[in-house]
Amino acid sequence: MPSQVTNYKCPACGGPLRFAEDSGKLQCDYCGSSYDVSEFEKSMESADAKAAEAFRDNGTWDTSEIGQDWGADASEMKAYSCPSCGAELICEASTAATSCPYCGNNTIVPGQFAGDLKPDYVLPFKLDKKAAVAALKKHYKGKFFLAKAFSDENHIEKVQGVYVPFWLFDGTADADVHFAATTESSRREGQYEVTTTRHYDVHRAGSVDFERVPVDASKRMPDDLMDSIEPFDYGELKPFSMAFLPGFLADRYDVTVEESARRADERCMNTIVSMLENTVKGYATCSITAKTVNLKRGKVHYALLPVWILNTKWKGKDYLFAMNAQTGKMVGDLPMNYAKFWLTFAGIFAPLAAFLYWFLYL
Amino acid sequence: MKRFYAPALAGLLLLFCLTLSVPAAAFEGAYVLDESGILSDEEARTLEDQAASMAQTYQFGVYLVTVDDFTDYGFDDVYDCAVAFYEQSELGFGDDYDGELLFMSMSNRKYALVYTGYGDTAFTELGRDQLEEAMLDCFRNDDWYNGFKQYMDWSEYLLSEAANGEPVGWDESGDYHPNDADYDDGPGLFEILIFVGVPLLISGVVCGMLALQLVTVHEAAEAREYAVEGSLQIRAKSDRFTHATETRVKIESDSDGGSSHHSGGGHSGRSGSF
Repeated sequence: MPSQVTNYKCPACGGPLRFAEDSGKLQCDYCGSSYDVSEFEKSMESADAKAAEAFRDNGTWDTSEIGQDWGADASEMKAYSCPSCGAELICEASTAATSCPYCGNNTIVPGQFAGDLKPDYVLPFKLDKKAAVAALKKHYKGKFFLAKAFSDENHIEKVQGVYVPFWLFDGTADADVHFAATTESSRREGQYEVTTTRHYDVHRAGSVDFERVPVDASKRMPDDLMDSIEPFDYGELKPFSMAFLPGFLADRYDVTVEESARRADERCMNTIVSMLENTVKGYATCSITAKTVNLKRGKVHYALLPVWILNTKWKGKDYLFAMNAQTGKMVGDLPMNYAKFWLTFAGIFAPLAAFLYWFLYL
Repeated sequence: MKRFYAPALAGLLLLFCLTLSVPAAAFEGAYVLDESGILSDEEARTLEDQAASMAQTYQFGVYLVTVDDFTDYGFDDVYDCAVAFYEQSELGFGDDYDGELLFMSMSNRKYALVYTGYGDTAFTELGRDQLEEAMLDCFRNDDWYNGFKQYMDWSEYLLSEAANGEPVGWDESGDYHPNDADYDDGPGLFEILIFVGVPLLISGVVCGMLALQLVTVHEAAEAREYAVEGSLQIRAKSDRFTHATETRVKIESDSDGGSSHHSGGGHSGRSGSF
């Protein structure tokens, strides 16, 4: 298991650096210095080479015994040593950036973004933790059936900024669809209303290009939760640099391109059929009778996208919320006050039924 | 006892319209006058016999008159015309002229029901509703004989209930309809659907929409945001007509759904269209 850890230290005071969402720079919370990402990376390159040399000169951590004890679980774990306080830490195999629970030092777990695992892009955080907490409180508002105790007691247990790995798929979807459509016209003939329904076989065929359809590549992140915080503004994508990661958690992908492609394919196929259906106009009804959809698959990109994850537990059940850290879109299902639901239901039903009974029958 | 004699009605018709002539198919009985000729002799005689039987049993006249067009007699309102018929023909039994008249004007599909004397007591509003509904169901489909039969059957039933001291509508324990064993005075399936189903639906929709506010997590089905703008290419586009179908639904006009109620001058009744 790798044991080497990269962390960014302030050249002025040696304190840990973190990526600041508001300034887009690396920030030292101890001396207040800030550094441009690209300039800092250049200055770090030579220092990294020296450190690597020094690391080789001084030998490596012997983790062979520890690995044997973990048995089969070892393949799902990573161990590393915090370069700031020396604590030996274990994290999941997919964890790429985290912080030390003892000293709070922000660290990048080595090897996670090496070679073909290195992301093509990263979308930097734009919104901070305070914005996430505020968005959650706003998320509670205006929900009539939300359990009041849930919102009042403010149960947020954990707020984490996470760079979630995504596959971004390019491609073209081509479809050939037949619809059964009808129009209706009515006329009066004596005592009868005569309705004439005209039936049509509507044929549409066409194609559309897609760019960067996102599918989250982390098993830990629920797919529907990640879908729900879309869309991201790809105009702000940056070439990947580890300098954006300090201060946040980051996972490497643990769902392969092949596993993710099914979801991207399905979304693209549904979209082209829906777009063709939208061109069928002027009919009273329209339903699909036959369709053939083909996909021309293009490039796949690997990107880290910024998400604030908020956890809470209430009445023994976990509630997970996610906020798009670029746009501020907050999602997450909330618990219902069932007593209030049924009271409201009865409150509408009973007087309405009584009124109709009186109006129609008495 | 006053009876409804055809010669009397024929004289009345002559008064109303000097040019009137009774068609060859017309039936003239003591209780049934089919001036417009829409019944066969056998049908008219069956109805006549049933009315005669009721007259003998209940001392109550159940009359049926059909004409081509009531306006031929100088009236603007079919009910007024029917009342004039009733009074000038001296229909009904006893000092109070107890009786009931169904007056049908065929060309403009108008009808009037006139109740006099004991008719006001025996034929309650509920009873009149039931009679009218059963009768009009047939008339709307041009089923004349069965409509008149409903009129006779319901009249007989309502008279019998009244003779037993419980006119229909006075007793909630249930009344028997001679032509519909399943008839029930309580709310029918349609009424239950209205005053239970509609509130259930409205409550469900309102509460459902409010409950859906709590659910914001959904798996994405489409990727429309990621379609390249302007890249949609339509390769084939055709709309081919294949065939046409036609459905016909009988129109129930407002007057079909209800009738005008009348009272005064010793009579009460209803009128409307069929």
